[in-house]
Amino acid sequence: MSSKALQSFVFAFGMCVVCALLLTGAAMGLKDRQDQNKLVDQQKNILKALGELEASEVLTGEEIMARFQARCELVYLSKDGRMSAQADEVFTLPLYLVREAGEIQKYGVPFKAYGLWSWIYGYIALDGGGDNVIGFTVYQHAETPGLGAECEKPWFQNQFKGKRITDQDGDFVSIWIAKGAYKDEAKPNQYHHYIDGMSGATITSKGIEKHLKKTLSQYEPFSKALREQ
Amino acid sequence: MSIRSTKSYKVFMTPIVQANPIATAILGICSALAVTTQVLPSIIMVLAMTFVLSFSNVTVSLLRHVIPKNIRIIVELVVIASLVILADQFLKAFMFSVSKQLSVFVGLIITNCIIMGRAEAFALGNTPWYSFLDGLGNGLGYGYILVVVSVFRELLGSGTILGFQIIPQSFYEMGYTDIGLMVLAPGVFITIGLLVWAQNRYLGIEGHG
Repeated sequence: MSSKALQSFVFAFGMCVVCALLLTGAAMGLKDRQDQNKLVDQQKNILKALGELEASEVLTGEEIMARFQARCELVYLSKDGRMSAQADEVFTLPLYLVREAGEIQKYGVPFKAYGLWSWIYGYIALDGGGDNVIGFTVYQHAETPGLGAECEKPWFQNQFKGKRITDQDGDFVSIWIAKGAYKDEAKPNQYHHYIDGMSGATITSKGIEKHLKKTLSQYEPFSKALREQ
Repeated sequence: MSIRSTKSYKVFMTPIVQANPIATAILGICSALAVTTQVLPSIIMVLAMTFVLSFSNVTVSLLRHVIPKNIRIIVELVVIASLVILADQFLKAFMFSVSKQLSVFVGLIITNCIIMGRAEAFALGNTPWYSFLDGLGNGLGYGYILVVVSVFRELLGSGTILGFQIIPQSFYEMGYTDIGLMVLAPGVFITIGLLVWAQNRYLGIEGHG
């Protein structure tokens, strides 16, 4: 090997070591803060989905955590809809409850859906009747800005409000996402469980639709019990 | 000797006025399109970009005599990528909501043509101090166009600036509507196009020639 090539190798290796050390140091030093930010952001999105936090409200991290503590209760469901405060092999499905005087007012369900590039994480919230959707938020995704990333925009999320997860006969159908405007695709008797898709992002839309249905069907025994009350 | 005739001043001011990276070289348009729907993300983007550009220039300039010529592009990229990751980590730790808003675009600073261009064209042949000033100047030259574009877009597209309502509610009640086009990509092309024309006509090379 010529000395010139060797010199390049040595330089490249030294460069890599220096940069790697620098970045590892920064990533480790800042990790606690970043994790804390992520936690606050998740709680903020649960509160938003549940309608406990307005989009215009500006709160500090502590205020968000305090409100989350005060308003939301984390419980776990079993596959047949029973509830427990502790997670174990039977009670596996996390659920965020908001109670007023002991009665379940509304509840938030965490979901993850596979879009075009990777998993999309978010929450969908229903009212105590087990049927009406009151909110939908996304807190983590890697979709294309302007296309699939529209799923984090208010125009898309606000469409969920007031929709229902059952059809006219009261059977569970979840929320369906059209390709384009839902009124072009759905029959009038399906309007109440249909929303507009994101243009240019059919795979993201269909991914959310598919996984939302899967998630909500796992919680269906619980929702059904609320509907039949 | 006035400050205007020093080399430092020239190195710093040329990329802001006569040789603006966006307006004359049409470099860095991709991020200018993407982040300028609102003023705040644009400002953060400019700060992150200027930080990366200045320090990548300084680092490349410091190493300019030892970087083996055959791998210099790779070395420049490593320097730039490391600085961008550093900036991204800091944003995630201290300005989480802004970092979410900028999403992939902070990472995409790596591919911003201005940075690589300045490292190749300037930093490899100049001292660290001038390279720093050149980076700062290019960052701010890029930045002022971004901020001007985002002010127009946010004002005309959403009626706000930095989130504050500027166009009064009474206008909306009288039938005024926000221009949806300004929020979309064509709005940027129109705004940048007009800016490029104005910049080159009155301040740039053509204006002086």
